[in-house]
Amino acid sequence: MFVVNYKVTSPGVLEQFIENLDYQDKVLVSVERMAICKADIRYFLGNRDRYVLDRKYPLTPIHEAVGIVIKDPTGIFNPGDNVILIPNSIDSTLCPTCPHQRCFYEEMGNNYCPFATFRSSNADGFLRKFYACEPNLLVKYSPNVDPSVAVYSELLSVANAACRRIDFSKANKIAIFGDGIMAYVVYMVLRYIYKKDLTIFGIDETKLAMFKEAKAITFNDYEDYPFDTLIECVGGKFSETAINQMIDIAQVGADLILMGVSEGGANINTRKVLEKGLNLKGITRSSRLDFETVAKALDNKNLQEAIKPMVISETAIKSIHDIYHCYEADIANTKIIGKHIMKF
Amino acid sequence: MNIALVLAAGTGSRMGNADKPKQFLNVYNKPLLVHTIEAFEVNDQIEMIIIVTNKEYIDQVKVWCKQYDLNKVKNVVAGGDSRQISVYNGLQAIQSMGASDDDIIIIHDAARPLISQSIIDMNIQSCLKYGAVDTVIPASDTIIRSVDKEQIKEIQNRSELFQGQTPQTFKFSIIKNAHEYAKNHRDTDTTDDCKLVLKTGISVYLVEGSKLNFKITTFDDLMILKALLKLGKSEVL
Repeated sequence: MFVVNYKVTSPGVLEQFIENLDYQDKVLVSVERMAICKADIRYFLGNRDRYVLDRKYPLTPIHEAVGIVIKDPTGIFNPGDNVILIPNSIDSTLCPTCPHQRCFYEEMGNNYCPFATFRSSNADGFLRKFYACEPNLLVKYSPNVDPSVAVYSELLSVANAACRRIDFSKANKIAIFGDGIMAYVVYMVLRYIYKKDLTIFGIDETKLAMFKEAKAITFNDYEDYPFDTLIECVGGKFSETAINQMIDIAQVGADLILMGVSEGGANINTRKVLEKGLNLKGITRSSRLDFETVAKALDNKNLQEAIKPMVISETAIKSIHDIYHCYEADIANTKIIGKHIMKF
Repeated sequence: MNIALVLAAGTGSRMGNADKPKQFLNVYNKPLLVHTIEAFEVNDQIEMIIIVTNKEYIDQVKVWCKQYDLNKVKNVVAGGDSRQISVYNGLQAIQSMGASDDDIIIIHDAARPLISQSIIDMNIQSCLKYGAVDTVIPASDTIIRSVDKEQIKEIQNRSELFQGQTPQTFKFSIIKNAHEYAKNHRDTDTTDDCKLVLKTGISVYLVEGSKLNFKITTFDDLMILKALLKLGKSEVL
């Protein structure tokens, strides 16, 4: 079948391509909703090393998407099933000789395999009307969930990958640093899946107001909380400040989870890390296990209601101009926690 | 019910030395007709597909439908000596399968494989509203009318001119009546269903098509299609 997809061909340039989609023996999915990630924006704007970009372009962006099954010759899915699209995959034929063997270490999952492919990074993404894949790259979700809510599943899965690695038998005081979208998603997972009380540290009062079921404050209002679990969701140039603040208010032996992407590195106070015996973990990758957890959790009405404000708009993609519009709107948005959702 | 009527009964006389009609030529190891049918097969608003094809290809088309899992194809019928008769035969088959007057018939050329889902959807939506719609794109070139093929007879205002594509979509009662009307008036070689409908006094509304929805008529068209597909070939990095 001939299908249209869209690729970033150079910084700021999206182009339409026609492809032959061979879906025999695969599940054929109609892509229904897509959301733009910060990584998509970096590739779109060309905010990566030139050498990296030259190897990426042309690249179909988007790794946050949900769809509807059209056909499944394997019989695992029925036509009409709502599915979350998993962006990461491995070539399992390489596993027997792989020196890393990360895929069999469930805590991390196959997304940490150095040979893994990730849609919209080192493989073409989901910005296309039709997509075909193996059934293990899809997770069914309830028809009662709005697809524009479910499209946040990939982000939620990443948050879940971080949260499931917290030892909740020891985590009594949990803090999230950041008031952006990643912080909000981690807040939702901890609050609505793991039922935890939380403190959020941010700087934007308007954004902090969205964390309705947590103590959301600025760092200046910090008094003396010895947190045992601290999660960094700041990223970028401010991650350094955030991580050092986290180190300052961490309890001895605390766990620090780093989730923000920082291109330039961060100068952190290692003396205090050593003095306090802190554990640092970096987590930005989820596995199928996380998607399954999220798909079940989406049935929770409170979680759905918490996600809804993040759907800033829904734009029907009728031409490439509509995609540009969504990219520009998401790039310009610094005030609202949410995204401009694309739909076919 | 929304029924796609796909016309694959052409002879491909403008394809030069090809040993088979253009709609049966292989592109990416699949007949062009199958690529076109797939666009309707995956559309969630299309409930049934009827194919009109050359008599000698009926069995072959049925085999392809099975081979490529085209489950919505419910009948493959023989075409006629002209496009109009082929459509008429398709409509007769649809009627014999119990079609009702309000069913939507989406008539499409098999040689337009790049039909988009949005064009199909817009055809159905507009037909529900108006009863008869044509897919068009604005004329980008100046259209010259010449009667003797030697000198210009007329140049019309380009802003009022459009190029017709398919699908052409009608409520069953409207297109059936138009064909019966034409038959009763011994009009059997009209190449456009909208023209037949207009003759019955029914208005036909426009749906925006796409330049990509071009018809594979000549070898040059086939070359353009293949070139587009090669440009779009994606690879895992």
